[in-house]
Amino acid sequence: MGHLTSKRAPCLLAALLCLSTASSMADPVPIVHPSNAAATISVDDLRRIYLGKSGTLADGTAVVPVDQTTGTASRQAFYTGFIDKSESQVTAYWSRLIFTGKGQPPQAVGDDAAVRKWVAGHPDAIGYIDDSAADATVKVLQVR
Amino acid sequence: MNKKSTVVWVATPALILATAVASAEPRIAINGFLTAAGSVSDSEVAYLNGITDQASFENDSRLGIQLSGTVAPGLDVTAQLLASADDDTYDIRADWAFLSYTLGDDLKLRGGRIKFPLFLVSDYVEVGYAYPWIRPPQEVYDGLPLNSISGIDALLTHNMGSVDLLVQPYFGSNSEDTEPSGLQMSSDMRDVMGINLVASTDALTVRAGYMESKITSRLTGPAMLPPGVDITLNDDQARFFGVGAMLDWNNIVVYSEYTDTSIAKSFPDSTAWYVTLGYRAGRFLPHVTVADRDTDERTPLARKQRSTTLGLRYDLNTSTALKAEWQRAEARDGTAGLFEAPPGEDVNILSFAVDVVF
Repeated sequence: MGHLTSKRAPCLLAALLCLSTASSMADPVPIVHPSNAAATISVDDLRRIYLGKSGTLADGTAVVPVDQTTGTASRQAFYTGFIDKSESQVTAYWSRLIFTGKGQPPQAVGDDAAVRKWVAGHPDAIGYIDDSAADATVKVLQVR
Repeated sequence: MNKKSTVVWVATPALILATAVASAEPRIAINGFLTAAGSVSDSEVAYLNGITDQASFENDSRLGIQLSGTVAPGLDVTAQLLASADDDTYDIRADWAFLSYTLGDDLKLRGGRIKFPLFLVSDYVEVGYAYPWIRPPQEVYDGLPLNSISGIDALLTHNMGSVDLLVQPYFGSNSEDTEPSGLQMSSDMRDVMGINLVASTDALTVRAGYMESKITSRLTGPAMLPPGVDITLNDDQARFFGVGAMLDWNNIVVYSEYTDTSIAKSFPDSTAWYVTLGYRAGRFLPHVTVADRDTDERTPLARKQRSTTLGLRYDLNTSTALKAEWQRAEARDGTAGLFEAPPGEDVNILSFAVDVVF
C-alpha cells in the first residue's frame, strides 16, 4: 500500500506529470474521530471492517464504518487499493449478504466532505477521505 | 406455498416494520434486484422452464424487493418478495420473511420464512448480479423440490486469523405446490434438518452442506406416467449432500460443486457436478462451464445430462451486469435430461440477461 500512503514529494520533481494525473489519482486515507485513541490500522483490519466481518479496531474499540457513495474517486481508489476489489465486485459481495439476510453494507453518506463531517460528528465512526481533504476535525490513521 | 400463508408471512413483517418506524432512529434498508433475460434454443422440445425455438423473455426474468429494519437493539426484521415470470402470469412469493436476533459478534438466530443454503448459491439463486452465469449450472440447481422453510436457523461465525468460519444449522417444514420435471405436484416437507458449513478467506470460499427431510407428495395435475412409476411419497426420506468452492483470485474465477441427491420410490438417486473457469479482464468476465448430472438407476424418471456453456459477463456499472451465454446440452442415454422429453439430439441454447441490484 506504499503508493497510497506515500507523500506527493515527487510532484516537485515532475510537476507537470503529477498535475496531469493528480485529478484522477485519489489518495484515500482512513479517518476516525479525534477522540479515538488509535493512531494506526492494519490493511487486514480495514478490509475486515469494510467487508462487515469485524466491528472493532486492534485495541478492541468498536467502530462503525461509513462509506462514500458509489463512483467517487476516493471510493474507487479505496476499494481497489485497500480492499483489493473493484466497485462491481464489492456490489456482488454485498448482494450475497444482503439478499440472504446476513448483513448490510456500511452506510454511504456522500463524498470526502460529507464523510469528514460525519466522522467529526460521530465518536465511534471510521471513514476514509482523500488525503488532501483531511483537517483537524478528524484524525488520520496510518495504514500499517 | 398457498396464497393464504403468503399473506400471513408478508403481513407480519410489514406490521413489525411499521412499529420500527415509530421507534427512535430506526434504520430501514430497501434493497432490490432485477433480471431481464431472454432465451432461445434450436429445438421444439422445451428446456428447463420452457425454453424453445420460440424466443422468450419469460423464463428467467424476475424482480425482488427486500425490506429490512431494526426493531430493537439486536432485533431485526427482513422480508423479501420475489416476482417471477411463470407461464403467462407473474408469480409473487416470499422466500424470506424472518426475525433475527443478534447475540454478540458471533451468533445470530433467525426464525420465520428462510431460504436454506442447500448448495453454494441456493440462498441467493435469484440474484443474478451475485454470480457470473445467467443461471447457475442447472444439472445441479434444477429440480430442487423446495428451497425455503418455515423454521429457524442459526448463524455461528468464528474468525481464525485470515479464515472465517460459518456454521449454519437449520430446521423447519414446508408445503408447496411444485412442478418438478413438469409434473404438477403438492409436496409437504416435514422435519427438514440441515447444516451448512463454510470456510472463507478473502479469495476462497469452501462449503459443505447436508439436508434431510421427510417428504409427502402427490400429483395434483394430469400426468402420463409410464406403468409402474410411483411418484407418491408418504413421509419418505430424502437426502441432499453437496460440497463446493468458489475462488476469486488475481482475476481468476473458479466455481465448482458436487452434489448427491437421494429421494425414495421412482425418483432416481443422482449425482451432479460442474466446474466453471473464468478470467476477469477489466469489466469483462468470460467463463466456461462443464456440467453433468448422472444416475445409476434405470427408472423412467432418470435424467442424465451433460452440457458445456460459454458465457460473458460485462459490468456496465457498479450495479448493472450484462450477460450472454451459449450452451450446448446433451440429454444422455435416451433420457430427457433437463428437457420436457428426450430431444433426440444435442441442443444449442442462446441466452441474454441484464442483472441489476439496487
